[in-house]
Amino acid sequence: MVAVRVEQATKRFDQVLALDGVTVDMESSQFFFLLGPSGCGKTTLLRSIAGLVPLDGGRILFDDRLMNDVPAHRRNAALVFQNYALWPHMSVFDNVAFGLVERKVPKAERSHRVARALSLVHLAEAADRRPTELSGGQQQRVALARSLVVRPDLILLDEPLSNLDANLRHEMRYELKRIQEETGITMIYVTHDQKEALSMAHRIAVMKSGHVLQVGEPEELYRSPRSVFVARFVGRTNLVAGRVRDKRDGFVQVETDVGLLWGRSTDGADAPGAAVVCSVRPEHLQWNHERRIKPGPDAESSQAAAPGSPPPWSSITARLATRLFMGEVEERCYLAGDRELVAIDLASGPSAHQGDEADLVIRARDVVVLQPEEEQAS
Amino acid sequence: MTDGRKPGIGTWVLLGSLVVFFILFFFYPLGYVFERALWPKTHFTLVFVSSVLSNPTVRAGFGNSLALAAVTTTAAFLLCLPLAFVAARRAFAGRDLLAGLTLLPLVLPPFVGAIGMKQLLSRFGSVNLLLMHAGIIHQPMDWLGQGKFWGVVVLQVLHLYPIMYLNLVAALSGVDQSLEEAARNMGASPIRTFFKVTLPMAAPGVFAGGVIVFIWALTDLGTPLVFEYKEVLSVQIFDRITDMEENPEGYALVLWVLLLTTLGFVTARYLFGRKRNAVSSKGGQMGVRPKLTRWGLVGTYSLFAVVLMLSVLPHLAVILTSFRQEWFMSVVPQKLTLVHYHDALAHHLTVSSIRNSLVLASAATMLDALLGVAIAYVLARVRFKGAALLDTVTMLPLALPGIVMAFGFLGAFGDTMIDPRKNPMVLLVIAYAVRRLPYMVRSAYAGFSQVDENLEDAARNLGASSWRTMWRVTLPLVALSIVAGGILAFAFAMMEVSDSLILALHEQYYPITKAIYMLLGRLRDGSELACALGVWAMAFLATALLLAHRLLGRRMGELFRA
Repeated sequence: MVAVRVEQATKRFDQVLALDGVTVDMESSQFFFLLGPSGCGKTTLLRSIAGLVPLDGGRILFDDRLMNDVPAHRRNAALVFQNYALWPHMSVFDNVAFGLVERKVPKAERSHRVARALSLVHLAEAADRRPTELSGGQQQRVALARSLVVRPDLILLDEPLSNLDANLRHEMRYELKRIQEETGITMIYVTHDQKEALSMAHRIAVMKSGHVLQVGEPEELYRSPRSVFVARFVGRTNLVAGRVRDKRDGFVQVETDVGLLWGRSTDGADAPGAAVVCSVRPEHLQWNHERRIKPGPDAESSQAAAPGSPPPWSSITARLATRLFMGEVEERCYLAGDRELVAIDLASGPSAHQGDEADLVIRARDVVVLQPEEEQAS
Repeated sequence: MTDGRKPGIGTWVLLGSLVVFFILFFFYPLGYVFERALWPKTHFTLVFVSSVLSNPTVRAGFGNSLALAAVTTTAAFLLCLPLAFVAARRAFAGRDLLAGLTLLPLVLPPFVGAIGMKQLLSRFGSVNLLLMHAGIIHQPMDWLGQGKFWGVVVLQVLHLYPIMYLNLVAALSGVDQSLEEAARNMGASPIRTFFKVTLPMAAPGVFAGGVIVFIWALTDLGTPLVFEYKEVLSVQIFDRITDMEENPEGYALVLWVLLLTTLGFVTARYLFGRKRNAVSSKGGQMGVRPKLTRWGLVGTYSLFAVVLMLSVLPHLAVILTSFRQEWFMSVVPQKLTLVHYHDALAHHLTVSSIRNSLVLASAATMLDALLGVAIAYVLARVRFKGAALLDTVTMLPLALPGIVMAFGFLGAFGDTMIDPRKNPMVLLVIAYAVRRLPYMVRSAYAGFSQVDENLEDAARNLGASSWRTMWRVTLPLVALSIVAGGILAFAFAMMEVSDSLILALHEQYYPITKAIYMLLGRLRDGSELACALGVWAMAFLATALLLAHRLLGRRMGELFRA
């Protein structure tokens, strides 16, 4: 299995700069995700790794081999297309066997390997059918089998689940993750669906307008976004603008419309007086029901115990405006002044009523203080 | 998409009249051919159908015609493959212009071109003289003697390649490019990808176009007639018209031609069902056409230039001939004159034939427009059992060669009110209209399918009746398609050869094509007069086609397929 390294990749389509100096490392045998909104360049990057889009500048390396001038059919990087791209004039068997024929694999071995690949995706009985006779989910799995069967150095997946319905999509996440773990093949997966990325990836690169904004493990991106864009794109969040008032031990105090908030500082967002944005995940916004949470010293948070340290909790007064019961959880929309804050609580927690006044508490380490978006863009 | 409307009374009236029309002017003449070939006296016999093949001349004609059609189709395919590929898949300056020009030969009537070609290829014609000047040959070659076959092939390829080209471009652009990328990604080189994925995917379209070219080449009458190439089926059928009353051989030959063309048509329609390769391309990469490299550009331009030059060459010779005063032993005429245009117009055949053709073509176009729009509307908007049958029946005329139809008409309607021996105008209009009806239906159908039915529903919702909706919403939106189809129908009616040659038997009813053919036989200045008339016709047709291409654009390819 290969590791893929992209260095300073640039690509321009007429007016649009699809890739603007992208550098990213993808380790061997990992499930790596390229995540971003449409038009961010993720598909272009994937297709240039496959050799289907020639780069204008930069380098692509598989391990230490420079791949820029290697034609698409010699890269051994199997691509699973968004529309599956199954050849309608061939049977399922012939579709899967195609790559083996091109690799001059002997006939006996060929049918053996095709059968095994098809059974890996639970489609052994469909070998003689035409792709057009299969459902979307089945076509998707044929496309996967076609990629797996050639034992590629890596598999590239271009939004492979986007044409499936919700249940099937969920099922296929498990399936793909299982296959990646079983085979240990390096996989690079393009998606705009952050849930897909968070649930399956070893590591994720978040892209925007031809740039990679941040690379990290799912939890790292979720807990420590380094930009408003990443905070908003990966998971849900409440964004509250304000100004820095105080700064202590990697924490800053921010004055906002909803009150004073303590949060973790990030680069460029800790100078007193600086305009900043606080990101608070809905599940971190807790209703301090009957004041059970004491906003005093917190045993979990060691910094907070030391004298002179920032308080481990911030507190906000708000009114419960809307409740949405969603089964295992309940989504609550609070109004603090005229700002809406969304919180998610376990539905089994203390019951609340619309219109209740509430004390909301947030742990300082759950608030990420970021530079506002416009300044980051420059 | 709504479910389509239930057929109303109007639909049934339309369908009823269509059935009558088709039975009368399509199935009855064909049936008559069958009857005369299989029941010449009182009882059924296959004697004539089989005995006609024991005639060595006919057997040779059969073989020649098949070979002619096969070679023409193959050559057209090979010629068009690179042209269509670059046009469909690469970006280069002038692409649209070249694509438009490629269609030009379609309307340059090949039998007029044949006159020019004969001029170029004659014993001391331009080609021999050029080759001798260049020192490549020392004796003039006898192109028109033994080489007639190839002369006809060349003319037909140059005439028919646009049909192949249109179909290939449509088929190649229809192949989802991610399917090719998938093949490349799976390890197939670009060339193997082309043969393993692109070409098989494009095959139904290629075959559909190929069948039209094949049928056309197999049954073309004008070109072999001008080349005096008698050893082909179409000419042999033509020669049997004089004694068709007594001799069932002509009918037997027509029956054979009919069998061949039907076979091709049925194969194209059912073996390569059109839906097979229609896969959902949701999320497919709309391919960005790569720009051509410098050498690719040079190659592309030269290829287009050579093909275009070759295809206008015979017609260039027609133009030169029409102006020549002296043209002997030189590559181009020594002296030019306008006198032939004057003489042509002064000839009693000319003016009446132009008038006849205009009347005939206009009437045929009107008939086509009426029938075609109505059929297309029913096919696109009304849901009823038998829609597929209606579609197939309207497309049948594509498989019906002009000679077969004209032969059937002449036999079936002799001694009736519309006996072509007395006055062929009615039958000529109907023959022109029936043969070009498929183009009109296709064109209008394309228009109707592009109009969202919601637009019509909205009009109805706001209080417009069905007729008002048709008049104020639907027709304005599909007008372009209908006009384009009409232009094509008109242009082809003007240049119809076989129906005109066979059905028009009296001078005062000659259409322009028959007039050109008859002028050709005139001694002294026959070719010049024919060419002068031909130039006029070519200019007219070229204008019509360019107009239709502008209106229809890319969808033009849809019109020329089985």
